[in-house]
Amino acid sequence: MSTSPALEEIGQRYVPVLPDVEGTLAAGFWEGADEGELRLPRCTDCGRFHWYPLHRCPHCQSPRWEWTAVAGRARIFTWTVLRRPLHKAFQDRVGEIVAILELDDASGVRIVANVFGADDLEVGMPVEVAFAPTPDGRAVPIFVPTSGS
Amino acid sequence: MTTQLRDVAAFVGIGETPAVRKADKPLKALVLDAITAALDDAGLTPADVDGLVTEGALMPSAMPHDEVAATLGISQYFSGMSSYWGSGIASAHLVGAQAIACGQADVVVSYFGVDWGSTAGAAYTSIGEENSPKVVYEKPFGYFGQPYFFGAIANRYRSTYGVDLERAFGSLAINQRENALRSGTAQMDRSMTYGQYLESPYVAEPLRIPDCCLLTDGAAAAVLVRSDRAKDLPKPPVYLKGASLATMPLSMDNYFTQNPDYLTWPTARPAVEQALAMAGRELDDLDFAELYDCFTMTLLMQIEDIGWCSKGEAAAFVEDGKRVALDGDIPINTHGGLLSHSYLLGATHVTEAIRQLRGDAGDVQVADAELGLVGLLAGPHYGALVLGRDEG
Repeated sequence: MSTSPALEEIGQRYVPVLPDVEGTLAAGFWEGADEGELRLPRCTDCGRFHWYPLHRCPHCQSPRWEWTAVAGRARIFTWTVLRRPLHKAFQDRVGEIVAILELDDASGVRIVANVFGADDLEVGMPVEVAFAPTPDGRAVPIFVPTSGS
Repeated sequence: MTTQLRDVAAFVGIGETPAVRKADKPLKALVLDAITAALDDAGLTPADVDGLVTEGALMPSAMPHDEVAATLGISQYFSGMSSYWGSGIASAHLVGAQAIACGQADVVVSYFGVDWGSTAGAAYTSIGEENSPKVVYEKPFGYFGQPYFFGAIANRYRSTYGVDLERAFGSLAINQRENALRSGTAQMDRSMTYGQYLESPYVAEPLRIPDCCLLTDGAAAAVLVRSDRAKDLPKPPVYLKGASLATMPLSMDNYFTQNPDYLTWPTARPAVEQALAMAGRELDDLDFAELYDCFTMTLLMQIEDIGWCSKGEAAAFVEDGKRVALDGDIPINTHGGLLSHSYLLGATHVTEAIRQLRGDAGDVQVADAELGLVGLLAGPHYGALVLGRDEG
């Protein structure tokens, strides 16, 4: 298994592409990251998660859902590798693993994230969240192979 | 009542600007050139036009129908659109045919153009407005640009079915490259061997440069008229026999990650089945298909989803390229498609199908082509057209 770069080094990479989400539907996700939690929208009526956040739960059409922390254990659903940057912000990120993950405790949703420190990726590989701090005090959820796996 | 549109209208004119990376004039001028060429081809003038239809996401700002009308002098016309990008190009003809069937128009011009050859990154990265989910939850992680969406699909597909994807992708890319060179009208002018395919760089693993569509400046247009008017016009009519737009409850924002049937294009089969039912024909009746090929992976999925083979079998189906070649069981993308002809998001898939059914496709003519399919997609949408040479 390859060694993952330090979280601080990883966090710096995201500075050019972190969105300004204040006052938008997305604020809860990134505020959660800043506080070290992976949060997803969960309907308070039917209890199901959905992604991305909508103005009503797409399963039961309830307008009542809330950002809910999940444990951050996931399995690799699929991935690609960044080879040819299509935006200048990714010029220094060639070789990164861009993954789609299924979370163990948020059935039915898939999130996009980078996976660090993994060789020989395969579908189903277990990973877990870590938070990479940025120089300006924010944090970005990233995933690494589950400890002991 | 899916038979009502069969043979109600026929294509009588097509126009295309040259397939080039960078054009020498702005997009609006290209669109007007394509429309004028299509009307000339049809033996009609702007004064004959009483309908304008187009794609619904890009065109309303890039070239609005009212500016087309104001420039060409088209008055008192029907206008419409129903979907976006590729599927919107296909379904514009559904809307046009509906207007003709309702008696609201007799001569409907459809148009589409892009200048993404001149716009850095636009073709691959145009999905994602400020603060859209694609920018807020995906872009920071490098899942940005459509090659990445399809590279991820490809890895899951290979893992699920254990097939030789490189061979399949290479066969599809080479088949279309050969068609493009034979067409004599394509933007791409270099041949490619399988060895050269394997040596080409990755964009988003496992997709390489030849797995990805070109970047093009250009426009295309087609003229659809009430069938009884078609008979007096110079070009042989090509009948619209079936048309359909299928959708599902996912938005463009979440389609590429949340599609529950991730390795399937869920709307491809219902759209094609409905269009064929309207035409009163079967899949086996098709002589060729022009299918949305933004990436080789996209095409591979449609070959299965439309029904030429079972799920997981498309790699074997296309392995040596013969079944999809011009003289194969089902010739696909006879002009070279988005991969090797030009990237007009399917607008030239429509004009190519019309050329084939006129018997006017030159060195890429499919022998005795009588019935063809155009299948164009955009995320959760799929637009299908069945075109035929003969009435009835």
